[in-house]
Amino acid sequence: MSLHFPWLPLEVYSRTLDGAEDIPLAIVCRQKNQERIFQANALAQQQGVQLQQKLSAAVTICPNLRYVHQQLDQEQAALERLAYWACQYSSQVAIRSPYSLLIEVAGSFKLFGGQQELLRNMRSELDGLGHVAQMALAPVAAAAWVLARSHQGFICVADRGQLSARLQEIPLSCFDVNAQTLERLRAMGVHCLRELLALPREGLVRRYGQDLYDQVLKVLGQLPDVVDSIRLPERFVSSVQLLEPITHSEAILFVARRLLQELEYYLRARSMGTQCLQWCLQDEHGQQSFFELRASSPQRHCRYWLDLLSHHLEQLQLQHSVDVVQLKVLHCQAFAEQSQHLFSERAQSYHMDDLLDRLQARLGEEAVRTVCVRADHRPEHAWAYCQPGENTGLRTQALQRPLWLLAQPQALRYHQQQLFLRGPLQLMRGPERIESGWWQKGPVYRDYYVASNPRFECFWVFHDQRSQNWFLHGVFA
Amino acid sequence: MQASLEQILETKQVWQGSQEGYMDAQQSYSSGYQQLDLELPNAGWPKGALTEILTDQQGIGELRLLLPLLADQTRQGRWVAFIGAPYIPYAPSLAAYGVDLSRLLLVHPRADRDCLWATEQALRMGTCSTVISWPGQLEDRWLRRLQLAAEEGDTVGVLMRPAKYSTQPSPAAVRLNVSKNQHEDLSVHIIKRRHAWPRDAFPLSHEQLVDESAFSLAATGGL
Repeated sequence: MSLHFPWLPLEVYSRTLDGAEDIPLAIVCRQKNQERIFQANALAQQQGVQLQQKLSAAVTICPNLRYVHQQLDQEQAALERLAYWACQYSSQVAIRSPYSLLIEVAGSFKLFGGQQELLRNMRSELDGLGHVAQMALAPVAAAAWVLARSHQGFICVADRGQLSARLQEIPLSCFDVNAQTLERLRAMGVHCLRELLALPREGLVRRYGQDLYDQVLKVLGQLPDVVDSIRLPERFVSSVQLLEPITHSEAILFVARRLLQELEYYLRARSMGTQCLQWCLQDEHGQQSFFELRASSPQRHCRYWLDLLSHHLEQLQLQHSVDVVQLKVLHCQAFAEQSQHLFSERAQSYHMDDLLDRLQARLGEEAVRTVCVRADHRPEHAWAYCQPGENTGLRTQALQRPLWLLAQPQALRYHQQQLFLRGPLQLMRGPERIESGWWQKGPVYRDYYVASNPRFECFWVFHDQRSQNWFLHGVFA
Repeated sequence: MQASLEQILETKQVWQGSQEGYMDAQQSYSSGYQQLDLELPNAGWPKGALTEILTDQQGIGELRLLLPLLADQTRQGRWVAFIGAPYIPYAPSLAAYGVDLSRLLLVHPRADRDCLWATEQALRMGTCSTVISWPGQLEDRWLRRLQLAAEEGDTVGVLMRPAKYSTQPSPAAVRLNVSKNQHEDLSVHIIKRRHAWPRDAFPLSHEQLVDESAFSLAATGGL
């Protein structure tokens, strides 16, 4: 199968703009020191812009025309991304420049539910990515390529017998011939393949070279055609250059959706997921800011990352206006699709990881954790923060210990010669001496008491032996 | 006249408000305190609904009221979340009371808004069986949202709030005002509970803890 994207330059340009359907757009290229219109979208053509028109004339006719020079590297990158997208349908995908993909789909029909279903899926996904493709199915790769370039919409040639018949009327401009040769053939009255085949072979080879004849043979399937499939890269890097800088963090979501969709196709093609996304926001002066999105388990779906990203963006403050948004994924891991329950009462069943990811995306990683027990008799060292789900499994004796501990011991005030905390304190139980050894850092020499006030609130206070001061350390909740 | 009234009652055409212990399919988790279980609807903390614990005092045992629930839930492998706790939970105490710390989640939001958002997410997603939150100031519409989130996730949601909000109307299923008037026992005043009238303050002693082996029985729905 061959997919031909005739509007690729315009599609690459409109990828960066918001609301591109309502603006007249054009791509400009340089020909013989003059800037001429190379491609224009439907709206621009309605307003009178024509192909090969001079740029100055086009701008006069259509004042609010937006144009940009042809960006060959962006087009190549777009074609590569489309190739990654196509890799989910087949393991053999090749890029044929300009603007074409060759995909070996014969083995994929059964998996994707038949030819019609496959084509429908492809068309709808391409629509979502913002591309229009001309599709052709043929038993020979080169023939499919030529057919896709010549027909709009979809064309299918079922077997080799019909192949030469269908190819006869194809204009020679769809083949890979340079403009000079084309002009000479046209001068001779040769416009399509049928007329070319009617010419004697030796004369053709002598005048126009063996290449043209070899190409014709490959198209007819009489000469073997070697096509190199692409290999998926180990890392995914994609970026979008915006034409108008963004100042609100929520507007990044629109751009990010496209990038995340491409990432999903790439991950699908590799049958993997990823746990870490690295984002880079750059402004026109080259200033960059980075952030990461992490998941507890490898994830693939675009909507999952979009959800996490929206939570993160809610509390992100943009330091500068954003010109380029870049997404990098450096490591991929094996991905297991989560199976749904057959008889689930709830529409969606979540996992603990989903909750942790969401909370961490918005509140930051350090805001979500748990505590565990450590083997130390000093109260402030007898516990530590750790990751949710970890536990040291230590258990201490059920001594008289409070449920709440203060992060830092709080000095107690005196009021009329008595210790005061929401009321004069009375020592109920104690003292319990806790001392640290000379080998430990952070020496502790304290006498702990349980104290209560007239409101019957119970606190854990201590008398520091060194400074002779009283402190509050815990609350018996 | 009287005969027809009896007929109506016999054919159960009238629902009587004095009928307590109205059983339905909704489950609850036992609180671990015998007297409290008798007073709570469905004999335990309600699942899929909010419970408010209102108190003005600190350090009277307001968190210990929930400890048997926490210990039971974490031992069964279910998660428990503390959102916006005022102090650090002291791990050795929790472990000594039987709480499995590998199923405890602590969330420390920076702002009030983040605290409400985190509480709503944890309640709605239903991955934690119990969510205890210290929300601070709550408007009526947020109370409604949290209640809906708890229903959606079928979670036990507990809000710890200052007692001055007792008069604020709330969609919570159970509202307790907890205080201490003498050294030994906690005084529990049930301001609101579903399917029954409010209950005057009654003393709750920590020695009234139900036997450990009875925990897992009580958790299988409304004994």
